[in-house]
Amino acid sequence: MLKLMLLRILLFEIKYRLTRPATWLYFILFFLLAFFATTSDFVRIGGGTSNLLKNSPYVITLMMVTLTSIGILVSSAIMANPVYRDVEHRTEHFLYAYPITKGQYLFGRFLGSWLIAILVFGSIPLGVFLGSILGPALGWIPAEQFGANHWEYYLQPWLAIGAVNILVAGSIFFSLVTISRRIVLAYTGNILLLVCYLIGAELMSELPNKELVALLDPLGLNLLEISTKYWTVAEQNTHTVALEGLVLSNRLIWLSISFGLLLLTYFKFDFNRTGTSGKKKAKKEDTTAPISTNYRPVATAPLSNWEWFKLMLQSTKVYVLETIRDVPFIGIVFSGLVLVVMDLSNLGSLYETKLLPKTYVVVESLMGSFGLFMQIFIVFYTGELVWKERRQLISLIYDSLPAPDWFQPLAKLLSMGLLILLLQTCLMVMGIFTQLFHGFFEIDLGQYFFSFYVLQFSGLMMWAAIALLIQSVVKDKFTGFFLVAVVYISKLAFGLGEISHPLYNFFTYPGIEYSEINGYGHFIGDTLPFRTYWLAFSALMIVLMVLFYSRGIETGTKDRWKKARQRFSGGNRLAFFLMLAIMVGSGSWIYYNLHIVNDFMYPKEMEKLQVKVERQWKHWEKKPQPHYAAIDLDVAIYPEERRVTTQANIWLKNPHAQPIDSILFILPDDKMKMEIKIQGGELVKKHDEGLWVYALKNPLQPGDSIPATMSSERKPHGFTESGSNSPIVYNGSFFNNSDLLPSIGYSGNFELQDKAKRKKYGLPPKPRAADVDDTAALRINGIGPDAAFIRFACTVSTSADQSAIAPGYLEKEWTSPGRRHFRYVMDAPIQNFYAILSGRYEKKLAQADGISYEIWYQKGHEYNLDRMMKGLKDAVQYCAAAFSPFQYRQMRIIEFPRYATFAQSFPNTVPFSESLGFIADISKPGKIDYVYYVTAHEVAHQWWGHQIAGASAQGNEMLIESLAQYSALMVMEKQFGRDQMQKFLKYELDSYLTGRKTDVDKEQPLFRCENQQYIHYNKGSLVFYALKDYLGEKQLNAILSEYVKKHAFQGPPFAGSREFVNLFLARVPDSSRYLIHDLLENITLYSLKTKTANVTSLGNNRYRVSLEVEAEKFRADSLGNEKSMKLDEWMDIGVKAAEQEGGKSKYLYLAKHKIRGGKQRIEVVVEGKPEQAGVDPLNILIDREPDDNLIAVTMKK
Amino acid sequence: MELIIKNLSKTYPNGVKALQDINLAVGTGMFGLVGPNGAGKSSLMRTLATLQEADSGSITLGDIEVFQNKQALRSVLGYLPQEFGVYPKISAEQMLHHLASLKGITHSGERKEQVEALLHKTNLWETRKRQLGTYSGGMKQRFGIAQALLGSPRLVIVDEPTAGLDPTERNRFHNLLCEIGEEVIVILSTHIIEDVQSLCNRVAFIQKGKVLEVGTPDELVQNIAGKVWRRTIERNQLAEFSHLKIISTHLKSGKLDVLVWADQQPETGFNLVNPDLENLYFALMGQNA
Repeated sequence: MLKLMLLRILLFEIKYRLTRPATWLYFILFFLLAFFATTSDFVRIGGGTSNLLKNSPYVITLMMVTLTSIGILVSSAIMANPVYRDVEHRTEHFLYAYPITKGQYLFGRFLGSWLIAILVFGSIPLGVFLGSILGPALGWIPAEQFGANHWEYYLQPWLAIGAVNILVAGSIFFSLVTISRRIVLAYTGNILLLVCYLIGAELMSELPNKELVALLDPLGLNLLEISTKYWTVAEQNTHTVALEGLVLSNRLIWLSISFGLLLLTYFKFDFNRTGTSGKKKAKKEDTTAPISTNYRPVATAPLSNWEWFKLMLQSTKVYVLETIRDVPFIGIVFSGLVLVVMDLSNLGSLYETKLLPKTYVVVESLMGSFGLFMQIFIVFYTGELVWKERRQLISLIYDSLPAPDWFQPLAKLLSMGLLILLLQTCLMVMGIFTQLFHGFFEIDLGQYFFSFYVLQFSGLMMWAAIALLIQSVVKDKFTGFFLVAVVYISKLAFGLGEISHPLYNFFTYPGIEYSEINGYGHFIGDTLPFRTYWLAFSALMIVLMVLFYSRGIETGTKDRWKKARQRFSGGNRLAFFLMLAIMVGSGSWIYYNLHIVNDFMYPKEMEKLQVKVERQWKHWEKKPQPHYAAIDLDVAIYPEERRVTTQANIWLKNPHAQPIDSILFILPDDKMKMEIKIQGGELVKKHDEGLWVYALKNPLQPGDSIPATMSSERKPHGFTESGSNSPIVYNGSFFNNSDLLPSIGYSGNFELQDKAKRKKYGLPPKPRAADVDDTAALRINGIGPDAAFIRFACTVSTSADQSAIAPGYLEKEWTSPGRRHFRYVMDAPIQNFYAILSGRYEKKLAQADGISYEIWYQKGHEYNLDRMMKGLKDAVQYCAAAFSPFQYRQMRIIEFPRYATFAQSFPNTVPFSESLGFIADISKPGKIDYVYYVTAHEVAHQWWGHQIAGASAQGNEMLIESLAQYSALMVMEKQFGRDQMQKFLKYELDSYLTGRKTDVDKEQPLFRCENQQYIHYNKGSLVFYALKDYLGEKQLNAILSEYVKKHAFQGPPFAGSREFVNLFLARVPDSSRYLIHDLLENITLYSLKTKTANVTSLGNNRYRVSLEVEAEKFRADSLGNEKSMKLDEWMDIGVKAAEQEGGKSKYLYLAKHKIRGGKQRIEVVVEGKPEQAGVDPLNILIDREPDDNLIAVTMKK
Repeated sequence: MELIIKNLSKTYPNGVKALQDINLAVGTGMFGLVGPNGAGKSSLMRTLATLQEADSGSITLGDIEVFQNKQALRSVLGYLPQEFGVYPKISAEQMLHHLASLKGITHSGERKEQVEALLHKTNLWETRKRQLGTYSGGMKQRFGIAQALLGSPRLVIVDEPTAGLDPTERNRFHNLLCEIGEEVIVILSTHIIEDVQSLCNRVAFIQKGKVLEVGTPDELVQNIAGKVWRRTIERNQLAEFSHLKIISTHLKSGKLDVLVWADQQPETGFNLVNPDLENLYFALMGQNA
C-alpha cells in the first residue's frame, strides 16, 4: 500500500512532466544537437576526427558527458522543481495534509523527475542512432564514417554516465531547493558543480594531480579525459568506458554523495511547515507616537522626467542592494573569484614556468576565467530582475503607480549595468592585489580601466540587453532562460556552423590585443564599426524592451502590441529610429567594407574557391618554374600609415632540365598593388584570385637566368570581419618575403585538405606530404618551392623614430628628412626566407669568438635578456662544435608584438614574440627555463633549416624540427643537468601520447612524419635523446655532423630523410640497428613496469635491491592497432637515493641490463640507502604508463 | 467628478467574454460591485486601474480619458488588488515611503506625515519597522489598504478588501473607506452583500461580464418589493415546487426555507417577505445562470 503510494506519486510526476512543453523542448534541443553533431559539420560536440567513427562509443560517451555538463541548467530546471513547484503554486497547504508520508512525497517526486531527466537526455543516444542511419541514407555523411551500431555503445554512456551525472547534479539541486525552498539556490548548485569541474581542469594541467582530479570530478568531463587519455583511434572506435578503476571509484564516490544528500534532505525537510518565511526574529516593537494620526490626502503633482529619473536611481539602488545581499549572488561571485585566484597563481604557465604578472597578462587571465561566471550571472540575474515584481506579486500595485513606462525597464537595465560594473571592479581589485602580492609594481591602471570598464563592459551590456528584452517579453522566466540559452547556442552554432557573419552573428567583433610594444595599436579603430553596430542593436533591444515591457495584465499578444503602439511615441520613437539609423549606417559601412572593398567569404564559398583554383591550376604543378636566384630589395615602411612599398631587383633562374616558357605568380594579397616586369616577359593572364601568368618570348633555358623587377605596395584596404589587413603596425612590424613578393609556381598549400570534403567535391585524396622516396618531391624545397639558396641584399627605410632590420650585415645607415635608411647585405647564400622588422628598439650587444650577438627589445623588457644572450652563445657554440661551422658572423633576436606567440628562425635573425620568453618569470629555480630552451632551438635552426634545406616530402620536419629539438636539449642538458631533461621529456612524452590520439589522419613513423607536431617536436625529442643515450652523444653527433657536411646548402635535390636513415644504418654498430628500425622507421611503444622493489640491508651501508620487472614491446600500425613484439634489449635499471638538497636526484645505480618480454627478477647491490628503484627510470623509452617505472622500495628484514 | 464607463467590452483570447458592453456612471461615494466568482469584477477593476486593455469602449474620470491618458488616471488612483505580495525584506514604513514617492509625493515632510497617519489608521504603527515578510495575512491586507490611500486618490479601487480581516479590522476598514468616500469615488468589490447594503451608495450586480442591475440599495430593494415569497417545507417536498421560480433554499432546523419569485402568491403557504439585497442577488444570479 505504502509502496503503491510512492509509485503513484512517481507516476503522477512523470505524467505531469510529460504534459509540460518544457520537457519536450529540452528533449528536442538535445536531440537536435546530437543528431546534427552526427550528421553534419555544423554542430560539433567534443572532439571528432576523420578516423573516429561518428557513432563510436567514445564519441557517444564524450557527447553524453559534454551535453549533461552543458545541460546542467536543464538538469537543474527539471530536478530542482518538483517540491518547489508546490511551494511556488501554494499547493503545499493542502497537499501536505494528504495521507502521504514525507518519504513517499519526496522520493516519489525525486525519482519521477530523475526518470524524466534520464528520458530527456536519452534524446542524445537517440539522436546519434538516428543520425547514424539517416546520415548515410540521405547522403550527408559518407557511410564509411559510421561503424556498426551496438546497443551497449548507446546504453552504456546513457545509463552509466548520463543517468549518474543527472542523479549527482539532480540530487544537489533537489536538496538545495527542497531544504531551502528557494529556487534560486539551484543556480548556486550549478555554479558549484562548474567550479568543481574548472578547478579540476585547472589542476589537471599539472601532471601529478590527475588521479585526484578524476575522482573529484562530479560530471565526468575531466574523468573521461584522464581515463581515455592515451586511447588510440582503434580503441576509441570500439571501447566503451568500462566501469572499473578510476571511473568506478568516481561513480561510487558521487553516488554516495548523492544518497547522502537525499538522506539529508529527507531529515531536514519539514513536512509540516509551509511557506518560505524564515525564522527571523521580529524587531522590537516601537511605541513612539506618529506625527499625525489623522489621514488626509496629500496633493501629488505630476513629476518631471528628471524627477522620475532620480526616483529611478532610487529604485535601482534597491535592486542592486537586494541582489548583492542575495546568497546565490554571493555564491556566484565567490566561486568565480576562487577560480580567478587559482588562475592567477598559474599565469600563462608553459612547462610549469609562469609569466610575469604584467597588467595585460593579469587582465586577460581575469577576463578568461571569470567570463563564464559573468555570462551565467547575466543570464540568471536579468531573469531575476525582470521577474522580481511579478514573482513577488507586487506588480499590480507597482504597475498602477503613475511611473512612466520606461521607469521599470530602465531601472532594471541600470541595475544590471551597475552590478556588472561592480563585478568588474572586484576583478580589477583582485588583479591589482595579485600583482602587488607577486611584488610586481608595474601596474597599468589605464589599461585596467579601459579593459574592464570600456571594452569588456560594453560587450557584457550587449548580452544583458538581449537577455533583458527576452525576459521582458516571454510569459515565464524559464522560457526566458531557455531562449537566452538559444541565443548563446545560436552564436556558437553560427561560429561552428561556418555560416558566421559579423552582421547577424550576435555580438561578433574583431578582438583587441594589447601589446607593450604597440599598445592598442590599430585594433580600436578596427573594432569600432562593429561595436557601434552591435551597441546600436543592443540599444534597439532596450527600446523594444521599454515598448513591450509588461505592465498590468496582458491577456494576449494583441494587448502587448496595442500597448507597444501606444508607447511608441516621443522619446521611444526618437530612440528607436536613431538607433535603427546608427545600426543601418554602421551596418552598411561594414557591409561595404566586407563585401565591396573586400571579398567576404563564408567557409563554404572559400572551399568552393579552393576547389575551383585547384581544378583550374593544378596542372601547373608539373610545369617547370624558375627559382628566385638573387633578390635585392628596397623596402620603405611607413608605420603611421601601416603601408609598405617594395622595389625588388631580381634574378630568376631555371634550375630544371627543360626550358621554361611561362611563369605563374601568386600574389601575397589579391588586393595589393603589384607590378612585375620580366625581361622578354609579358603578362598574359591575370586572375582575380591573384594568380598572374607571364609568357616568355624566349624560353628560359636550363641553367639560365633572367632579370626582373617587381614593385608592390601593401596597406589596409578597408577592413574585413577580423579587422584591417596590413603587415605593418604602428610599432613592431614583423613580416616576411611572402608578404611582399609573389610566390612562383603552383602551391598545394591552397588546396582543400580535409579528406571527406575533398571526396564531396570529387577531388582525389591529398596526401599530407609526398612519399619519402618521391624523387620529384626531393627536388622541391621544403621551405617553399620557388627557390633554393639565394643571394640577398636589402635596403630598408622606416620612420625616423624606428629602426628596421633585415637578414644580413648592416653595411650602411643614413637618414633623410623624417626617415631612416639601412642597407643590409648577406655575403653567403641564404634560403628564400627572410623577415623584416621595424620598431622602436633598445639593443643589447655581446661579442664572442668573432661572432656578434644582438638582442633588439622593447624598453622595459629587460627581465630575461641575460638568459637569451646565454642561450644564443651556448647554442651557437654547441652546434658549431658538434655539427659544422656557423655560417654567419652575427646572430640576432628581435622582439615583436604578441600578435603571434612564436619565435621563428630566419638567416642570422630570430624574431621572438613579446609574450614568449621576454616576460616569462624564470626566477624560480628548478622550473624548466623555456626562454633558454626556445632560444637554443631557434639558433639550432641556423643549421637545421638554414644549412640543411629539407625536401618537401615526408620526414622533412624530422630533419628540421626534431634535430633542432635535439640540439636544444643538448644545450639545455649541459646547462641544467639530467633532472631537468627528465622533467622536460616527460612533458614531451605526454604531448606525444596525447597527440597520437587526436591525429586527424594517421600516425607516421618519425622518418616519415608529415608535419605532425606531436611527432616532429615531441616524439623527435624523445627519439633523439634515446639515440644519444644508447649511442652516446659523441657518436650521434659525429653521424649528424657527417650528414650536415654532406648536404649543407644543397639543392635541388634537397636533403631527404631516407638518406638520413641510411646514413645511420651504415654508421651504427649492428647491435644498435634495431634502434634505428624501432625509433625512426617504425612506431614502437613499450609497456614497462616495476612491480616490486625489495631492499635488504647487507650492513656497512650496502643494500641488495631486488626488482620484479614486467616488460612488453609493441609495434603500432598507423591506426594504433598494436602488435606485441619479441623483446630482448638493453634498458636502464636505476636505484635512486633520497632527493638531494635543491631537489637534485642522486642515482646509486644506473646501468643497462638486458630485459626480456614478460616478468623477470633483477638484483643489484648498491652503496647508500635506496629510496626508489625501477626499470627505465629516466623515461628514455616511449611507455604509455611512464609513472610506474620507478617505484618506492620496500625494506625487508 | 464622475467616472463614466461606456460600452466597455473585453474578450479573452480563450473566448471568455470578461466584459460585455458595460455602461456605468459612478459618482463620489462608495460603489459596490457584486457578483459571483468569475463574473468579471476583477477584470473590470483592473481595466479601471489601467492594468488591462479593453477591446472597445471608453472610461472617463472627470476630464480624464483613461485609455488615452493612463498616467493622469494613475496619479489619482488608489488600487488594492485582490491578491498581492510585498518585498519580504523591507519594512512596511520603508515600503510606504518608497511607494509614496513613486506616487509623486515629493515633499518628504508631507510624505512622512501621511505615511505615519496611514500606519496609525491601519493599526500598523507598532509593527511598522518589521519586515513585510513576517506580516500575517490581516496585517498584509491592512498594509495594502494603506498603500492604496497614499497621495490624494480621487478614484479608489479595492478588490475584495476585507477578505481575511477579523470583524474589528473589517469595521475599522469600513469606517476608513466611508471617511474617504465622502469626497472621492470608491469602487469596492465583495461577496458580502451585507457590507454593500450598509456601506455603498450605489451597487451594481454583475454576472458573466454584464451589468444586471444598478442602483442604490434602497431603490433596488424597492423594485422587488412584493415579489419574494417564503414557505417552510419538508426537505423531500422540494420537487413538488420545481415549477416555481425558486430563488434560494435554506436549511433551518431540519426543514427547508424556500424563497420564490412571483408577482403574486404562488401557492398557499407562501408568505410575502420584506426583501433585501441578498434576495435580489440570488434572484438575479438564478435568472442569468
